[in-house]
Amino acid sequence: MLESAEHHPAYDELVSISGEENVRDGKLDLLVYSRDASPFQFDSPGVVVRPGCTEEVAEIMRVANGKKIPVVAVGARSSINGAPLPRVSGAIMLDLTRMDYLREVDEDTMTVTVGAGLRWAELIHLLKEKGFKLGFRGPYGGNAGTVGGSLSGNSIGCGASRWGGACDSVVGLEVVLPTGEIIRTGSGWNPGSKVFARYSTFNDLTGLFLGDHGTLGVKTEVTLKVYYTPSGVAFADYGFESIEDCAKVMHELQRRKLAEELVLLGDKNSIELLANSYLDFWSGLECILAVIIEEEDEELANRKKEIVDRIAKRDGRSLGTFLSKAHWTDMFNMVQPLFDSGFWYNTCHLRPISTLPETVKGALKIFEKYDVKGRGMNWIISALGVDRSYCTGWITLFMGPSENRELMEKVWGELKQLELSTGGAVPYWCGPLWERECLSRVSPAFHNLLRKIKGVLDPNNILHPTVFGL
Amino acid sequence: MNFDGLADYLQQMEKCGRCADCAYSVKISTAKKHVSLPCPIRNVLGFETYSARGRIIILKKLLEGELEIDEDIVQWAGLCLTCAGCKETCLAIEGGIDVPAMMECLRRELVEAGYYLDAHASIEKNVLEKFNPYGEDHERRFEFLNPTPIGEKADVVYFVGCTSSYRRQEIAKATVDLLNKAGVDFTVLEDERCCGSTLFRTGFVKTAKEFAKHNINQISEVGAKTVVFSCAGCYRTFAQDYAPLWNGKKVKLMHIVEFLKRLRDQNKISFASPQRVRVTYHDPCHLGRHMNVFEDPRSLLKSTANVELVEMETNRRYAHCCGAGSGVKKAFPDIALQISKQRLKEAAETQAEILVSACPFCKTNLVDGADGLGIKIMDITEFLANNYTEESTIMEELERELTLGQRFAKYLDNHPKIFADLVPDSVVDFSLFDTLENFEDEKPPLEVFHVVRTEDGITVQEGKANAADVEIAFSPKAVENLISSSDEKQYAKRFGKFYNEPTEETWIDFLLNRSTRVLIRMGYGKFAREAGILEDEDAY
Repeated sequence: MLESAEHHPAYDELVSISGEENVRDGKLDLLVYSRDASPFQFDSPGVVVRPGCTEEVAEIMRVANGKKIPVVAVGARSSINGAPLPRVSGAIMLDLTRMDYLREVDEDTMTVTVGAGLRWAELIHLLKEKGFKLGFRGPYGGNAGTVGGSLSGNSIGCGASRWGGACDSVVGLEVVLPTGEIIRTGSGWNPGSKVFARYSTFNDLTGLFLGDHGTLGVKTEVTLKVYYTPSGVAFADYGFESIEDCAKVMHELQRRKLAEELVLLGDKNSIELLANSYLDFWSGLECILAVIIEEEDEELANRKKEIVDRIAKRDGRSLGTFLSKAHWTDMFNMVQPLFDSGFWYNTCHLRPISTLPETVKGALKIFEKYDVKGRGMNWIISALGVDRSYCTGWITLFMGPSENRELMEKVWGELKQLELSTGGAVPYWCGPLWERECLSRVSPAFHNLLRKIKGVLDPNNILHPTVFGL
Repeated sequence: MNFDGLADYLQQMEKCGRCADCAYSVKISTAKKHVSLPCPIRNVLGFETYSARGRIIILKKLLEGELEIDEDIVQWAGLCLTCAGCKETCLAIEGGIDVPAMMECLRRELVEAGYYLDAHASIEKNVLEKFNPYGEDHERRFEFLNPTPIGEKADVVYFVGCTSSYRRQEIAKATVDLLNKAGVDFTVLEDERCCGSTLFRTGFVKTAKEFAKHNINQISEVGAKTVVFSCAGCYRTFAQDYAPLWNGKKVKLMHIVEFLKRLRDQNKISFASPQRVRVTYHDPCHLGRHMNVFEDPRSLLKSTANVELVEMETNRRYAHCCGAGSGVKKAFPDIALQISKQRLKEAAETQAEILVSACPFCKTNLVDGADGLGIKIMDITEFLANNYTEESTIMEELERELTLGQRFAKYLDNHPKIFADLVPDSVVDFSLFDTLENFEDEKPPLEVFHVVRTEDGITVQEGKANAADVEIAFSPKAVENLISSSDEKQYAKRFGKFYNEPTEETWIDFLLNRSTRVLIRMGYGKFAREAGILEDEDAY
């Protein structure tokens, strides 16, 4: 079994807090923990510790703050934006995946409280056994992605069309501050209260820590909204001969809030990659819209499907239910088979649905200019309806052979510029994926406020230093 | 040092998207796949250094020459069960990124360069000196089996294996008992030696191959047509590691569960428990994931009267390893024991009275970890030998009228065009459930059979397939309706209707065992269209 090197200046303290079996600073361990699911790589952590409870996290933060040692809190590092990777040397990496418990399902207030290191797919499993579902189910990498990680990164994914993104489902948090104090947000500010309401009495401090990329505090427990498992589920796939028609229908369905999940496949190549035989029996097929509906009972779900059908068939044609059903009943497993086309380079962002056609056409021009397919690379263009009426832009590149790396990074850079310059798009998460582009656009007043908040909460700047340029 | 063999896997390594499914995924409710934290070593040690994603990161650094070989690397290389749970979970490439093969390749190259764990070297020493990894007296290998035929000409050879010869003799005795009761003309080899399994797994491949050649020669001398194994490790080794060494010799290799199921199907043996008993089954990695035998042992257990088979949370191709394999028990006994205890906890949660497996090495490690848990652990050979009955329980079934499932199977057999768009070797399970809820809750089906697409048509076979691409579930009413279809076209139309517009009485649902992308490429997209699932009503 591998031994720790025991070199890190906080090694002994960490061992005394979390136990020897939960602390590692051997070279192989540090190497592994220096990567996530993005192409980025910076410094390795100096030591990895796997705390088992909030009190351990608080103690570790007090040690780190006292010694002014940087700390990076991570989940399963399945992120595709590089956000959990340490940017400075010698950091303590808090691997929170040991805190993967379900504390309580409260049917009284319809909430579930979990350890921040619990994976979404596991949470869904645990809830299903008790007759509940989540609204937002997790990012498309929800097999491994943790609740805490998704909240730090403003994740979007399954269920977002109806319920919004990861942060929209939060009622309250337990957070360990950089100085080691523990706070509860939402109605949890009152030690005598359950965490049942997010907006209560004071400012919404919950929001301070959502999307913070782990810079302001360590989220240790999360309370989320839950709903009863529905018994009515309906599926529908529609085909379109242009992105304009497809986006138009998506827009209307999203505005009317008809779907639990509304996913668009945005060009012929993406259909070829995911569902090639669909092109065999419909030569003009350019885009597919998959619709998933969940309701209290079957009658309601079917009635909603009738409405969806009426809207979709104005510009498109029914393609049965195979793709939407496969997508929903094999949740979190749609992306991985695409790795066969090489390592992935993502450009996830948010945009108004009406701006999708312009972006898709611009992307296709870039791919043509660089002969992306001819060079053995590939892409998938998709979009997911979110919240009231906007969507994700998910244009993902696949590198093919590693010799393509240089060209891939060029295409990737150009694509990101295009995306941010069309339709007022914004990334939902930042991380090294978008940080340069975002910092060059953010207003000084906004960034100054971020800096001041960070300075107050983290006076020694130990939590994920340099992220957001702080 | 050079890693020429490992370098052959670089392309596969580059297809890892580092999604971390291999370490953390739980797919039971989200995808109806019984995956739950697939890496047993990571589950015990906590750190991702041991999961497939972590291993690929390290292996790439080795190939890039950025890591020196030292004690850490040798320890880390030795601490993998090569159980293939990660490979089975991985969706990046068809069949999954083969990290177990990479680890075995690395171990071989390390051994060739003089780096190995002492515990593993001691196995090689014992095998070289005593022809078995335990260092026991070779001459006394089969002493306990008297008067079993040894070294005689026979159609069937029972390859006993070292663990059943020296540590788990009850398994060998039960196997011999079953073969005798079934009237099988069999022998054991006069000079059976270690199959080399542990040596292949731990990198001592050169020595292992010498033993492989010896065993192959012994089998040739007996003139056997079939070799039967009660050890999953021996079976996997003969079938896969020996594959390049057979030199065209045609010998059928079968695990005892496959052999017994065939005998049972031929109505030559039957089993009945004297009282009701609740049983769960542990899939040995070398029989399940490595050889795709999942259903035969279950079929044998289920057909044993008075036996209730219940499944553990992880089962079949996603079953957790027992913790013994690939030299881990020898070199890291404490870790093997912790993994065994985790597996036993899963077994205990089923409230089964008996945990049955089909490998002597699994039994050993499970017994070692079972202290105080109150669950009985048996090999399937012991369980079946104890429950052997002279009375046939099969004939009664055969004599009955054709069931709905059998009529459905017959209908499909007569309409192979339904499957014309599938590529050869595609496999579909057809299961009948009384309610959709029972299908969704993974209750046992009323009836199940499977269809295999062959080069020139289809074959319809009883039971669940070992590795179906898709499981299609039907309500009885839907089946009755489907088999009254006048032709394939009408069948397709009805199929599409029942799938797209299910009612409480007539419904069809499915479970995908491969990714949508792969299935569509195998022709299931066209199959779905022909079956009416993708019907675009406006286009017709």
